[in-house]
Amino acid sequence: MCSYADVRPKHGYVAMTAVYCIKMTEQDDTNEAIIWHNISVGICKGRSGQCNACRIGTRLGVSDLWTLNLNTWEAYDLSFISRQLKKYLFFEEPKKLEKFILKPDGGSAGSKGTGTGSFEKVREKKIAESDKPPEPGDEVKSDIDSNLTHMKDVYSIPVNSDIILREFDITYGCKSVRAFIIFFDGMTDREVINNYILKPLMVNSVMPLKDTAENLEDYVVRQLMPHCQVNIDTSYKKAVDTVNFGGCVLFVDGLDVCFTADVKGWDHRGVEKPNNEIIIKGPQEAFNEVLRTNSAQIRKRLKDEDLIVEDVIVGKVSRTPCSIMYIKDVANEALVAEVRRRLEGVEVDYMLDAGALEQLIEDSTVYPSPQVISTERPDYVAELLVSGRVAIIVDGSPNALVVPITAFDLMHSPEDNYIRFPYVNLLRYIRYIAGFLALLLPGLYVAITNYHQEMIPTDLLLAIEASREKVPFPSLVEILLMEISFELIREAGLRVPGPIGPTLGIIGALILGQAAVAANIVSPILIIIVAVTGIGSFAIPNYSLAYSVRIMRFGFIFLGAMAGFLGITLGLFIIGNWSTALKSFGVPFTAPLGPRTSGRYKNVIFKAPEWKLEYRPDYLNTKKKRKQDEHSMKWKRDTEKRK
Amino acid sequence: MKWTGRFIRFGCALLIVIMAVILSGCHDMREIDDMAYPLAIGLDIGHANVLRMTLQLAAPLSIGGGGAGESGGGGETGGGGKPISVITIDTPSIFSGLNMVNNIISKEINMSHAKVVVISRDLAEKGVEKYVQAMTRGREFRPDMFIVVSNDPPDEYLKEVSAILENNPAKYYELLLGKEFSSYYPEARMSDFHNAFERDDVEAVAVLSGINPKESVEQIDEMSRIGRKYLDEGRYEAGDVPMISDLRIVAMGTAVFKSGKMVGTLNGIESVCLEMVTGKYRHSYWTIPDVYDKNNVIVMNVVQRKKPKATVKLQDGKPVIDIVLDLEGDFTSLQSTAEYEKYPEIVENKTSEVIRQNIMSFLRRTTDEFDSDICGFGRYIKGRFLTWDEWKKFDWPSHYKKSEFNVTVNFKIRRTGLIIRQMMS
Amino acid sequence: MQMEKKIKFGRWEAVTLTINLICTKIFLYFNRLTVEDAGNAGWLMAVFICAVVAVLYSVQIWLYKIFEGKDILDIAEIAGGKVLKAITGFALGGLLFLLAAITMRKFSEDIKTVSLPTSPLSYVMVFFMAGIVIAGFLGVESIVRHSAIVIPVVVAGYIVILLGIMPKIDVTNLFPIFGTGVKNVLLKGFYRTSIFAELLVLFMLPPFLGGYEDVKNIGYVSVGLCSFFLITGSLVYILVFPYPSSLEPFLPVFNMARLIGLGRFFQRIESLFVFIWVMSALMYLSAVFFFATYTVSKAAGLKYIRPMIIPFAIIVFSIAFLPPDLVSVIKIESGFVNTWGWVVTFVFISLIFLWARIAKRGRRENRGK
Repeated sequence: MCSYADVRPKHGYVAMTAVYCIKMTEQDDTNEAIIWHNISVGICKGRSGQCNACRIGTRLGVSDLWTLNLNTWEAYDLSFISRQLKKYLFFEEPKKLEKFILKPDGGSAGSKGTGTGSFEKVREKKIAESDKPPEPGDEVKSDIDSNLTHMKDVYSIPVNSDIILREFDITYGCKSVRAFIIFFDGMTDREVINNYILKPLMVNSVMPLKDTAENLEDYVVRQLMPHCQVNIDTSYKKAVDTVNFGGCVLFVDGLDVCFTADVKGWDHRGVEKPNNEIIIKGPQEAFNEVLRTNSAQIRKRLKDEDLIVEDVIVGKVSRTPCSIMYIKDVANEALVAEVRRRLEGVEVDYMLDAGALEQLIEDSTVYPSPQVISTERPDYVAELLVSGRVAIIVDGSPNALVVPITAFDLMHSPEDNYIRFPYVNLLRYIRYIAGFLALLLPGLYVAITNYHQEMIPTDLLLAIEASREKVPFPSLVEILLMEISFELIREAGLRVPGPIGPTLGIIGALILGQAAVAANIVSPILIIIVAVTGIGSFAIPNYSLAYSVRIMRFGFIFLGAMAGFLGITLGLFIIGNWSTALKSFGVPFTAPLGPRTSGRYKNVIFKAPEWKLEYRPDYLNTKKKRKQDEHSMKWKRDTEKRK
Repeated sequence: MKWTGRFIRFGCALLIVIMAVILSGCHDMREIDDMAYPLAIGLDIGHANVLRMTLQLAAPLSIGGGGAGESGGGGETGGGGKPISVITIDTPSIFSGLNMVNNIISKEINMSHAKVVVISRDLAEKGVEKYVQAMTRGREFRPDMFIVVSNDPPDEYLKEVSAILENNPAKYYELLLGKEFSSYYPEARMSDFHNAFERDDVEAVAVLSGINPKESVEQIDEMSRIGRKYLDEGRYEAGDVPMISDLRIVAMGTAVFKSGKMVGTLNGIESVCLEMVTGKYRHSYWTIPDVYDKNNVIVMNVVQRKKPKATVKLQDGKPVIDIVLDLEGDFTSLQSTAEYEKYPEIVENKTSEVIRQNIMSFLRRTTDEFDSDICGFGRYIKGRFLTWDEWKKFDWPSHYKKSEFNVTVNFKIRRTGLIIRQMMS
Repeated sequence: MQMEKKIKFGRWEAVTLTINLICTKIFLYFNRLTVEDAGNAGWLMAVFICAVVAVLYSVQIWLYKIFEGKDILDIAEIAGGKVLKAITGFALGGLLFLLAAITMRKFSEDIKTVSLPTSPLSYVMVFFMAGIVIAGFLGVESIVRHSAIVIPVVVAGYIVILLGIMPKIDVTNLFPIFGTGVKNVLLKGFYRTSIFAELLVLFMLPPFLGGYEDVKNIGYVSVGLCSFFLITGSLVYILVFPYPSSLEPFLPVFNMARLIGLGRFFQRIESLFVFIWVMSALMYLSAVFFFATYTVSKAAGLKYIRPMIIPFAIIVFSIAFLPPDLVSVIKIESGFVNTWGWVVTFVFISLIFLWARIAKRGRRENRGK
C-alpha cells in the first residue's frame, strides 16, 4: 500500500522531491520517511507531485521539506522494468565527466603557474591554513580547570586507561604556575618526556635565567623547553590531533594557548631487507611503517632541496598522514595538482594501507593490470622521482605508490638500473617471453589441440594422442583442473607454517603431478604446460601484474576453447584496445608506443646503456627534459687530462 | 551488489550475449584423441566401385605409449602390435570413401597428417587429375604431400611399410621422400603435381616405388649382369633392385606424366639427369668406368654448385635447346693404380663425357618416347611472347618433340678425400 | 582543472590506420584479383593502380588546400548547405557500411573455410561483432593507438611469410610479361583503383590532425607504403604460383603460407598466420565501422556517437547475411564495390571540393561587393 505525499517546498528551497512518492511509517509520521518509488529526479515547478507508479492512494498533506537519503531505494514492480527498458531504448544525455589528460602547459596549474593547483598557490594556501584562527567553541581557555575538564571529557578519563594526565607546577619569576601535560602511554617516548619536557619545566624553571622573557608564553617555549618540535596552538582540535598521534600537549594556567610537542616513540620495525623485491646487485634497504623514516630514506638518496614532501591527511577518523613526494622543478605541476586533488577528494572513515589507497585513487577498478606501481624499495622510488613522477607514501604501510606509469614500466625491475647493458636486455627479453607464456600458453594449448591439430608436428601429435588416450576428461576440463590445483597449491603454500612451507610446495607439486599422471587423470604434457605457466608468472617483476596475468589466463583458456585462434586473437584485441583507451593519471597507458611521442626516451622495452639515457620520458611532460649531458662520459673524450 | 538499474541492464545484456555464444556451442571442438590420422592414402582402380582407396592409419598407442610415466621399469615401447592399421574400400570418390570409413572406425578421420599419396600404375595410366583436384580443394590435405606411383597395388604396398628405424611411418615417409641426401627419384609434391596439370610448359613427375620382391640372396644371384653396359648403380627401377632388407619398400625411378596420364618410367640414372637439368640436384656418387682399366671403376662424388643455364631458340620452327651444367666433385674411390690425382683433367673429361651422354639419352627419351616436357623447357621460351594468347597459340607441347639439344657439362675436380696421392703397386 | 575535449592523434597513428584499411585486402583477395584481370601481369596492374592513385590523390589534396582543418562534411556544408552535407555523409557512410558488412562476411567465410568448418556462420560473426562493438565503445583514440602498436607486428608477420616463401620462387612465372594484354592491364586497372576506396577516411581525419601539412604528408606516406605492400604482395604471389593455377585459390596468401617448409620442422605454420589475419581483420572492421558511424552521425547532426553503435552494428550484421552464398559475395565484392568504389572516393569527393571552392569564391566576392 503506498501513499504519496503532497510536498510543498519551503520558501527559498527547491523541492526535488516532487516526484518521489513517500511512504509514511505507522508509528511516527514526521521523522521516518522510507522512499517507496524512485522514478526520476525532477525539479518541481511549484506544484505538488504525484507518484507515477501508483496513481491511487490517499493524499496526506505534509508541510515540511523532507531530507531524503537518495542512495537507497527498493523497487520491485512492473513499472521498474518498463522504466529500465525505456532507458535502454531511448537515449539519456550522459553526465559530463571529463577525464584528466596530462598536458605540457600545466593544466590546472595554468600556464605560467598561476592556476589554482600551482605550487605557489598551494604554498599560499598552506600558509593561510596554519594562520587560521580556530572556530568558535574550539579555543583553548586560559583557565586551567576548564582545560582539565575539557580534556578529561574528550578522552574519557579514567575509562581510557592508557592516557596519562600529569599535573605539575612551573616557577615563573617568584610565583608557581599550574600546568599539566597529557599524552598516550605506549605511543610516546618516556625518556624524551621526562628529560626534555618535564625536567626542564619543573627543575630548570627554578633556576634564575639571565634574561627572562617578558611573558610566560615566550618564557616557556623559547627558554624552558629544549625540545626540537614544539608548536603553539590555539584550538582544542589541534591539541587532540597531536595527542592522538603520539604527541604531548602542555597546558599552562593563565595562557590561552597550548604547547604541542611531537614525542612519538612507539615500537616499530627497523629498516630491513626487502621481502618481495629481492635483487642481487643493489641496495638492500626497504621501507618500514614509519612515515618519516620512509621519506628520509628517499631524501637521503636525492639530497635535493627541491624535493618536496607534502603532507595530506586521508580518512576522516583514522586521519592517516600521507606524503606526496615530488621534485619541484622537474615534475609537472598539473600532475601534482591532480594527485593532490584525488587524495583530498577521498572521503572515507578509515584508510589504513597503501593498497587501500591505491584502489581509491586509481583510474579504472575493473582493468586487470595495476595503474600505479607499488614498491617497497626506496632506491626504486628515488629513480622514478628523478624521471618526473610523483610518489605517495602512507604512514603504516611499507609500500609506496608511484604515479603515473605506463604498461611497459610494469615489466621493469629495480635491478635494471644497476646491471650492465647486455644483461639488462637479456633479462627484459626473458621477462616478456615469460609474460606471454604465462598469459597465453594454456589457451594456445587448448586451441591447438582442439581446433588446429594440423599445426602440431606428426610425431608430437601421436605422442600426445597416445598419452591422452587413457585420460577420461576432455582437454578443457583437464587443463582447468590442473590450473585450479596449481592455484590451490600456491595459495596454500603462503599459509603453511614455518619450515614445512617451501618443502610442502615443492613436494606437493611434484608428487601431485606425478601421481595424477600415473593415475591417468591428466596427461604428462599438461604438467609441463602448467609448470611453465606458473614459472612464467613468477618471472614477472610486478606482483600485481602477475595476479592480473593469472586472471586473464583463465579468460584466454575459455576463449581458446570456444573458437581456437579466433577466440584468442579476439581476447588479445580486446585487451589491447582496452589498454590503449586507459589513462593512468592523465598519461595514456601505452605511451610511448601508443600515441607515438618522441623516441628519445630509451628505456621502454629494451634499455639503452646508462650513458645514453639523456632524456626524461616525454609523456610525463616534465619541466626539465634533459637528464644528462649529451656526452656523459667526459673522461672518454678529454684524454689530455691524463697527462 | 547493489541492484541499481545500470547493474541490472548491464547484467542482462551480458547474460544474453554469453548464453547466445555458449548455447550455440563449440561445433569444431574436437579432441585430439577423438580422431584417427591416416599417414598415407592409396588410390587404385576399383572393381566393386570406381576407386579403390586405402588408408594407412597411425595407431598411436603402439607408437607413443612409452611416455606415460610408469615409474621404474614398466615402460614398454608399445602396447604390442603394429604401429599402423590399413583399411581398403571401394568407393566412387575420395570423400565418399572417407564417409564410409567413418562408419567403421570409431574415431573421426582427420587427413591433415597424411604424408603420401600412393597411386597405382594402372590408375596413373588412366588419368588421375580429378582426384588430385579434389585433394587440392580439401582444406585438410596439405600441398606438400608426396606423390608416389607404385608398381604394386597400394593396399599391399601400404601394408608392407615397416618403419624399423623410426617410431612411426610418418617420419619414415618424410625422411625417405624428403630427399635430403639421395637422388634416384625426384621430389614430387602435390602442389607442383597439380599445377603441372594446368600449365603447358612443364609436365608432372612422380616417384616410382614398389615392394621389393627379393627375399633371399638366391634371388639376387639370379639377376644377371648380361645386357647391362655399365656397372653402375642407377640402372634399376623400383622393384628391380638387387637388394634384400627388412625394409620392404624401395623407391627408385620416376613416373612420367603427360596431360594427366602416365606415359612411362625412368630409371635411377635418368632421374638423376632430370634433377640435374632442372637444378634440383644436390649430390650423389657417380661410377665412371676407368679410363685405362676396363675392370675397375672410378667413383666420383658429384655436386651441383650453380644452377644450370638453359636457353631455347627457335630455328625453322624447331626448338634448339642449349644446356650448360656446372658440376664439381671429389675423388671418392680410385680402384686402379693409375695416378689420377696428378692428372685430373683425364678424369674430368671422362666424367663430363659420361654425364653428358647420360643426359642426352635421357632427353632423347623424353622427346621420342614420352613426348613430355618434364624438365620444363617451355618456361624459358615463354619470355619471347608478350601476351598469354600468343603463348597459347604457339602451343609448346606440339613443338617439343621436334627439339634438338646441345648439352655442355663443365666438371671440375676439387678435392681428393683423405688420400692425396695413392700409392698402390 | 582544464579539460581538453579535442582528441588529436599524430602522424604515425594515422599512417598505420590508413595502411591497415587499405592493405587488409591483401589478406583477402587482392592477389587473385589482379591475376584474374591481367594474368601474369598482375603486378604491372598493381604498379599502374598505385601510380594512378598517387596522381589522383595529389589532385585531391591540391583541391583541399584551402580548407585546412575541415573534414569532408564541413566542406560539403560550405558547398551546398545542410542538404549536401547529409547526402555526402550518407553516401560516404553508406559505402563504408557496405565495405564493413562485406568484409565481415568475407572474413567469417574465410575463417570458416580454414579453421572452423562446421560452426554456423553467425557464431563466427559474433566474434567479429563483439570486437567491433567493444572497440566502438572505447572510442576512436584507442582504435587509432592500437593500430599504431599492432600494425607493425602484423606487417612483420606478413614479411616473414613473404621471406619464407622465397625458396619456391620461379622467375619464369613472370613471363609472358604482359599477361592477358596491355589493354586489360590498363583498362581494368583503372577500375581497380577502387582498392584504395578507403582513402576517403583520410578526409574525415583533418579535425583530429594538426593541419594541412600533416594531412598531405600522411596521405603521401600511406599511399607510398601501401603501394609497396600491394606491389610486393602481388609480385611474390605471381612468382610462386604459375598462371592458370593462380586463379584457383580462394585465399591466395593462405595457400602461400601453406607452402612454407624450411626443413622438417619449420613447416605447417599457416595457423600462426591466422593470428595476423584475424588481428588485421578486427582492426580494419573496427576502424571502418567507427568511421562509418561517425560520418553518418555527423551528417545527421547528432552530438553523441555511443548510442548509435549497437544499432548500427546490428544493421551491419544483418546486411552481412544478405548474400546467400560465397559466390554472390565475391560477385558483389569484385563486381560492384571493387569496380565502382573509385567513383565515390575520387570523383565524388573531388566534385565536392570543386563545388565548395566555387561557392566559397562566390561568397567572398559577394561579401567583397
